[in-house]
Amino acid sequence: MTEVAEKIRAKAAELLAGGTVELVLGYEKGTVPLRTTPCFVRDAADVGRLVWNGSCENNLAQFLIKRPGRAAVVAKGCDSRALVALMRENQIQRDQVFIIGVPCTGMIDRRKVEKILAGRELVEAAEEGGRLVLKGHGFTESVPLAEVVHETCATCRHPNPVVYDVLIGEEVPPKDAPRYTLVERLEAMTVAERDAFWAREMQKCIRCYACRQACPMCYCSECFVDCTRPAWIGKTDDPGDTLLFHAGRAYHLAGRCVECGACDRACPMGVNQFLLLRKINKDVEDMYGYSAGLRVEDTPALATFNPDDPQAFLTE
Amino acid sequence: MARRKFGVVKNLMSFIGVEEPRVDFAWISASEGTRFADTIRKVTDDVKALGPKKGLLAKAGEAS
Repeated sequence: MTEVAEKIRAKAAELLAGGTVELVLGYEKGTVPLRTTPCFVRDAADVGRLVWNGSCENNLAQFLIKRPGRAAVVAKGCDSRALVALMRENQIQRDQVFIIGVPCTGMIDRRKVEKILAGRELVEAAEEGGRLVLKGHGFTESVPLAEVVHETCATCRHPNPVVYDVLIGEEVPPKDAPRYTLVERLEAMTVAERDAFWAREMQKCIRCYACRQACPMCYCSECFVDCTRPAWIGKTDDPGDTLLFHAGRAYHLAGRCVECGACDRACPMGVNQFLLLRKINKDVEDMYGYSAGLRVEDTPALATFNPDDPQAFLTE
Repeated sequence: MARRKFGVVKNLMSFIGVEEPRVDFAWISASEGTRFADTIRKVTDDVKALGPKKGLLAKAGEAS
């Protein structure tokens, strides 16, 4: 991990000193263990701030949307897919970004770590040989990294950047774990059971819109949920209103979601709204054979059609 | 494209707990008046049979 960080720093210094880019976008140490924060490096002397570890979970692609000037960005597999999807939508120009690709073994889910800590305060965390070592006052615990990675990372099919100018670190094998277990469980339920499931899930939501802010693909300058004239949907934290917001957001991401899980990680309440995106991604894949953010040349699934598209839902 | 979008919406609505017959899609030409009437009749009958939306989205439906 530190070796990768060293290489990122060296590359960043080279790019900044050579004038190839005016900004390097990466991660720096956060204020608490297991946290990093986006880092904007403009001077080659500051590259020491850049880090690389299992907490570099933010999707940095969104900082590059319509940004003037040439920037370099540290990108994991999912981030690179977001970059591709944004290039496809003309939000980012390929020649304006230098992509420092880093294969990703998965980001650490703090909720899972909190469960292990069971209320104890974490003072220090370190990754050592595939294990996460947690240190606090009077305790040291070591857990396999594989047990604490995010659900989205544990089922990630594209851990290696799909596009990059330079690749740092070893490529990692994609996971073939089933991604749609919960989606399929819900599909098998009755409508009333699904309604009850969402009622439980949506009760948690406080409508902070952190999911929307974290999403690299949610870049509309005015979101349908912020509109007051007309007010498309209710703005209360009533579970019905909340579900409509999440379903609306999910639909707007149909054929665009790159499955980075940024929304899921940003949620302070643990609302499984990512499940709606999983469902749509599954449908788009099954019905139209498309996954977003893999190739800039691909036409997005909902921007084209095929005469043979399924139409079982059509009323004859 | 409309067909693709509708395919996604239809599945999503069912996934969030809206009964299938409440969401309907049909191609009807402006010259097919009878077909239009028949389709609308079928949809309204189906929805009437289901009654008002219960559960999570009941209030949201009322408000609009």
